[in-house]
Amino acid sequence: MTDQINVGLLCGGVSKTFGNHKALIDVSLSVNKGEIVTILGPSGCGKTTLLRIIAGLELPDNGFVFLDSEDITRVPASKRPINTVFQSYALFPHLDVFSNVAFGLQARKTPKSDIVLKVRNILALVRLDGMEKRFPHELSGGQKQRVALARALVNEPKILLLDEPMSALDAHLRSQVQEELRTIQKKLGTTFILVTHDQNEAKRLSNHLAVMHEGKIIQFGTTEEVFTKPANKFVAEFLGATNFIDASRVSDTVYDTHYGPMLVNDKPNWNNGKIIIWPERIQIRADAVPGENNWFSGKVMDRLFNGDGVDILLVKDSDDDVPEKPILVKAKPDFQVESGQRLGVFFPPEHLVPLDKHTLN
Amino acid sequence: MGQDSRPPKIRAQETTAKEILTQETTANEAPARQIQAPIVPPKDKPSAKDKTKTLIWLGEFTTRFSLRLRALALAGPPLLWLTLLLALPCLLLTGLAFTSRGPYGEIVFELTFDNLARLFGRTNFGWSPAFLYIIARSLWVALVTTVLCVLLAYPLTFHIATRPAKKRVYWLILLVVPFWTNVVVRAYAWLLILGPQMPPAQLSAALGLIRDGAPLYPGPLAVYLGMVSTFLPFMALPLYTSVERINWEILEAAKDLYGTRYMIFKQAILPQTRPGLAVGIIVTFVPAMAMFVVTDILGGAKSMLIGNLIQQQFAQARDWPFGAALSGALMFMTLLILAIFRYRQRPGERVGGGLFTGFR
Repeated sequence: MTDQINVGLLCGGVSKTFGNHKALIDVSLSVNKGEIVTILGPSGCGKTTLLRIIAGLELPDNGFVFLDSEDITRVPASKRPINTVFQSYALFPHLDVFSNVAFGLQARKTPKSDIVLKVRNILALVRLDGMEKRFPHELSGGQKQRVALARALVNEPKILLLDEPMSALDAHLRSQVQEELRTIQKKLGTTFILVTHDQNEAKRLSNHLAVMHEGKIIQFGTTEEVFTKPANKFVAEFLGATNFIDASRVSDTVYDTHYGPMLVNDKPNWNNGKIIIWPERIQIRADAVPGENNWFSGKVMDRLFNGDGVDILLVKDSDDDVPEKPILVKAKPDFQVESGQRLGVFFPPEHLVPLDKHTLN
Repeated sequence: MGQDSRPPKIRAQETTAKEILTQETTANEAPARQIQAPIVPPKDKPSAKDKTKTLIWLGEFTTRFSLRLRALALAGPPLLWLTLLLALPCLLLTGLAFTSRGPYGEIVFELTFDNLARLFGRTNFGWSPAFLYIIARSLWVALVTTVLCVLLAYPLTFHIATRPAKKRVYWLILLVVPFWTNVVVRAYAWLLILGPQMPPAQLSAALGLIRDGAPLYPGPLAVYLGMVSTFLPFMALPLYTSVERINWEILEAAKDLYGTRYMIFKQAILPQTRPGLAVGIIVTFVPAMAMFVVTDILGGAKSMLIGNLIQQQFAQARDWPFGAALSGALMFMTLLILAIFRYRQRPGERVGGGLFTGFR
């Protein structure tokens, strides 16, 4: 578990209701210093509300927010050492880049020479040097975003909040900005809390990941943990899993499935439930022995080239007439196979992840 | 437009082909601009006859001549109306200022600057600034009224804009309802409220602020109450249109960046509401300067404004030429204020739309 001293931000039992809509229900979250934590979830799951409560722009109905073991639940946004990069960037349209970035420093009565120095340094960091005199309407989307980032970072906040920071950027800019964000975060060591609905962004950026659904955090863990072992069907689906296998218990470690008996390393807590396996974990083997545990020989329904590899859709060959959801297998781009051909695959027991039945679905 | 899709008519006119091509491309990019932008004539000028026939692309093929005709047909009737009923009377009135009054109140058409001299204080007994003083007081009353309206309109419009969408309508109706009541009726209503038997006057009397049994009118308090209640909707409605469209995230950003209340207002609220505020100030200040009903009923002799004076000259004194001179002075001040306002609109401050952002 995490070191107590290392905890930067701690939210406990946070609830918030708007009218009859429960935006947050008893949410707890702890964020380590110097990490990037992503709050991931579909729109309307309450992730932005949680971010606004951390920023101090919203007061929770219940619960507390601690920053460096200091209660800041009722401290207004203007007094918190936390800054936000807003989704719309919210730059002051009548102020130029320099004044936008200097706003927070001026508000805190920083000496003029310090302001000039700090603004220059931070603009260099986000590669906007020479743009001081430009107005927001003269900037591109990516530049506006970097101004918003600089405007927040120049105050040296303890925590930087980013509300869907990539949503207004083109796809090719996104990966570039993600890399830049990581670099900047490493350089400054600031704690970043990021809200997004894009699982790829979460995967690429974060150390820890909190998946939210209908006002609750339903899984929290390191990004690796969450992606390899999603707790339930909702998380698995949201993270892009497609291979859901119905399984029923035969013995303690062996479960019977549509694709034959499977040996499972993680013991499920049910007798009938679902197992998932990530497509890239399924191994294509020529030496398939049908009938044995974890071996499956299927008929290729389709082969799709997807850019970095080949997606192969496999169905059980014995019952042609019954429509079934195919198993998705990922192969190397040069892997050749024809539709209708048979293919032997192996499901490694350590990569079969049973989904928790008692939480969502 | 591809080369081949041009109709044969154009292809035949090789002399102006270049011009047409450039117009086509610009028109395709910004068709609305093409209407206003002056069309640059080519160096070898085609004859006037050619010009009317040259086809230009504006969503359809048309000629400049037919475009002008269309514009005239659209703008003609209102222009005629304004010319006959506004511009012409104003000019007549200005001309009247340089005539003089006959012994029976008739107008003597004889060029004279006596009225202007009188306005600037010449009397039979030496110089007296009485009329200039009234003009200055009118400006002052209008200014105070406007400032009070701004101070009240900001919290009011923010209150309305932050209500749920359904409830805003009711608030706006409440704001507009006084519009449906005549100014005279409202002024008399204030007279009633401020009367000696009513609680406000009695309370003031009890506190020793006024004589026992005296009303709270006439006086500045009554005038400003009447003025502000009359002009608050003029200020609040245009301001509301700006406040309603405020990007609240910018306010939150200002808060998030440690902004004080003053900074939040100056850097986040004011720039976003400036268009509505500008319109509100103009539609409040200008009519407030000419107001005479409220001051007539609630003000008494000491509160005489230029509006009262003009009304007096035309109605009681039957001195139309001097009334015309006073009206001219009022018109001049109005235009001056509008000019100052237009000059003050700086390019960096043009946030969103609004009446005055499209001026230049």
